[in-house]
Amino acid sequence: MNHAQGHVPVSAEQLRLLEDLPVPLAAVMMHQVSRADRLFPVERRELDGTLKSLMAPRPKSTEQAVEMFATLRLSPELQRLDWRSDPAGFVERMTAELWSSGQIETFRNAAKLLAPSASAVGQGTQEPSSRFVVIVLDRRLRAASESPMLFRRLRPQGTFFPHTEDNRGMETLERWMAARASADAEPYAHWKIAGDRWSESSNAQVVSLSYDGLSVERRKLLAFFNATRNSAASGGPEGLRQALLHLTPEQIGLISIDDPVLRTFAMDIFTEGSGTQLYATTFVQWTIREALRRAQPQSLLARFSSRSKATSIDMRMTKPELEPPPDDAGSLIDAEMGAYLSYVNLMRLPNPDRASFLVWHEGYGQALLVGRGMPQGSESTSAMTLERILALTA
Amino acid sequence: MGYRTESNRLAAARGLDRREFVRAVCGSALATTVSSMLPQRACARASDRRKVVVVTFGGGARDQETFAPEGQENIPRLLHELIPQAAFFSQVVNQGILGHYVATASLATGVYERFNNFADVSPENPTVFEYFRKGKRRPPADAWVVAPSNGFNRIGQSSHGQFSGQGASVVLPKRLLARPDGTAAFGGLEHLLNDNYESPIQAPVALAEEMHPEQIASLLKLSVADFAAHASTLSSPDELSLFVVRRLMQELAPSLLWVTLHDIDVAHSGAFSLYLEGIRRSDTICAELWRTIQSDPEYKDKTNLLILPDFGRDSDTDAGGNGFQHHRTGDALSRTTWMMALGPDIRQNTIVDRRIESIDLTPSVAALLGCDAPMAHGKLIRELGL
Repeated sequence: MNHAQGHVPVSAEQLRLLEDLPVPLAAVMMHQVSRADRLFPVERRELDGTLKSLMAPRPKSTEQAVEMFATLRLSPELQRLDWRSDPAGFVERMTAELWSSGQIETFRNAAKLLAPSASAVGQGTQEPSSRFVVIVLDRRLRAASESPMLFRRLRPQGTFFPHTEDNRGMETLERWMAARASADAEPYAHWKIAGDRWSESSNAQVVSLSYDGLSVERRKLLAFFNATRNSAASGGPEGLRQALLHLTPEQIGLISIDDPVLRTFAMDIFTEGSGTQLYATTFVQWTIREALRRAQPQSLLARFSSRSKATSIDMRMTKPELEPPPDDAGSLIDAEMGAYLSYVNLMRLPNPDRASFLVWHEGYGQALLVGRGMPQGSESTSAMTLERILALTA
Repeated sequence: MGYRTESNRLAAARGLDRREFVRAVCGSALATTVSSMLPQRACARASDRRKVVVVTFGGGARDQETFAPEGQENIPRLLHELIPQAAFFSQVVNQGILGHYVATASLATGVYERFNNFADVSPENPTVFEYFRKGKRRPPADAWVVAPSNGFNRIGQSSHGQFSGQGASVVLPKRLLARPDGTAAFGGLEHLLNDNYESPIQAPVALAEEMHPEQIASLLKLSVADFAAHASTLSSPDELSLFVVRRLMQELAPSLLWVTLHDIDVAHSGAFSLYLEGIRRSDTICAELWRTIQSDPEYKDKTNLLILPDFGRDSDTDAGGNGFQHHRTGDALSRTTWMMALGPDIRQNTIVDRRIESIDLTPSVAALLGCDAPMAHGKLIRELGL
């Protein structure tokens, strides 16, 4: 077992269930069960649902998934490894082997078959208020051209407000978030994610993460990359992956986050996300993606600020304290794509027809709202404030 | 299986979109079964004088950032300078592993190689360089590879016992500028060392079989210091590669030259703007390379240029990926790409929309050079006049 990050003891009943499954599926499920105490409530419900669906009698799609997993052929070397004692390491090696043996598509398709069963089991849980994601683009993100066409990918989905100059916009959004958190106090239901630090002190009911706020931890991780590549036993990218699997949040200084679930989540952002350690825009986009996918929050407020200019990763690893100057024009392009991908991720969650999505550039004073009752591909010429826009789909 | 059928349908649809767009822009003729329409290439015609330059992108670009209407601003030179002179293959499918080294090795062997992408190993199957050099009895200086350094040092020579010592010389331009630990040996050139975007660190590389930087510099008739001085005027690793390619053409005029560009793969960092910059740079480099070919008497009118990404990138809609950033899902879009071919043996201004596979490249390049690739699994691309 991966002791570095601790694990949840597996019950005898669970172990019996897993041992009856094809090894690839058993290893994946074991990995999930062993980290159950670091999963968000929604993930735990899905895990419980999947485990339940794997018991006889199984739903048809689950049975098909199990049969598909059973067709996967693992090498004798992999079969000799014990998936029970180090499921994370086993899954990592198995994934590489499934790619090299051309079986990865079968694995993915089997996993897709299994996923709906989990969400079907989860049906019936109460859906509180409508989900709302708000993305702010910092006023420093400026295009090289005088008047860029903002939100081009998103415009067909909602209503464009080109006159949304609002000097108190951020205050409005902070109040809006606080009100939603007060109305619905479920854990991990409300999130704030930023490139720079949030100016206001955090509400205890709101999860708050920022690229700048985790700069010490990021630098420690870059130093860890550097030490790993320079160590005599470096196994290259595969060796690094193995080392990261056994890295603890404490080793990169993530002790400032009390909550163990969030502490692990923050570390996952840096160890599983590519570029999250280097660029603020990548950090924000990936963290939104992962928060939506894993925690399925009811409210999410994110703010894209400037990332640093492109710099050699060799230099960033050898000099982790280095923060190159900002690239404002490039960051605007990154943030626009980040907003679009966040919308796509929001639409993957349950009840997408009830969800709202707002993106606002505070410098250009332009916004776009997607949600119930909002005409698609349209434009409003009215002067607006964020308060008025937020009320449109409330 | 249903999934495979759907995957094929999506790949075909993507190829069709690409064809329609290119046809709209360039007014190209449609050649679906062009073998009967093309002038047959006489076997003994001029293959001994023929040269082939292959450009692969080790980091595919998606259609929405290239051939789709919203992406065309990123590839003006491919669209307006090269495609009107080219045969454009709108549907090239890669059924192999979607890692850049192993995929490029598969393109070079004509067999889907199955080794670990990050391992410091040679391809198992003979490469096109070996088929060419052994088949045509050519010296080492007649086949070269210019590639980024993340593992590509072994791509020129397979581990196949029948072709020992018959491979291509490999230049990793970064090595000419870096210390053994990968850091810059010359101040101010750190930006030219970026090239390993799939992982923050790369595999330790055995240097023993590699050509020493001083040796390469000597072949290029350029001191390492002069090379560094010129490099200081460039803005990316791919521009550095173009510089080396031109130097090779000028000094050695190899018959088979394989260039792997890699700037686009900065997409793995998640910065969309840097990915777009990489596409625009690749667009310029391809056009400049063709211009170089056409202006060099050693190459003009006897060189076929083939340009293709090794594979695509993930779509925005596959939940397993993160849009443009990676190529991890194995979905149809990440496997389906395109190829363009220009040169004396290739019919200009033509679109081919039948499905070909990326491993078809090796037997076709071999045939263009007048030799065989008997162990390749790919098929001849007849539309290249073969």
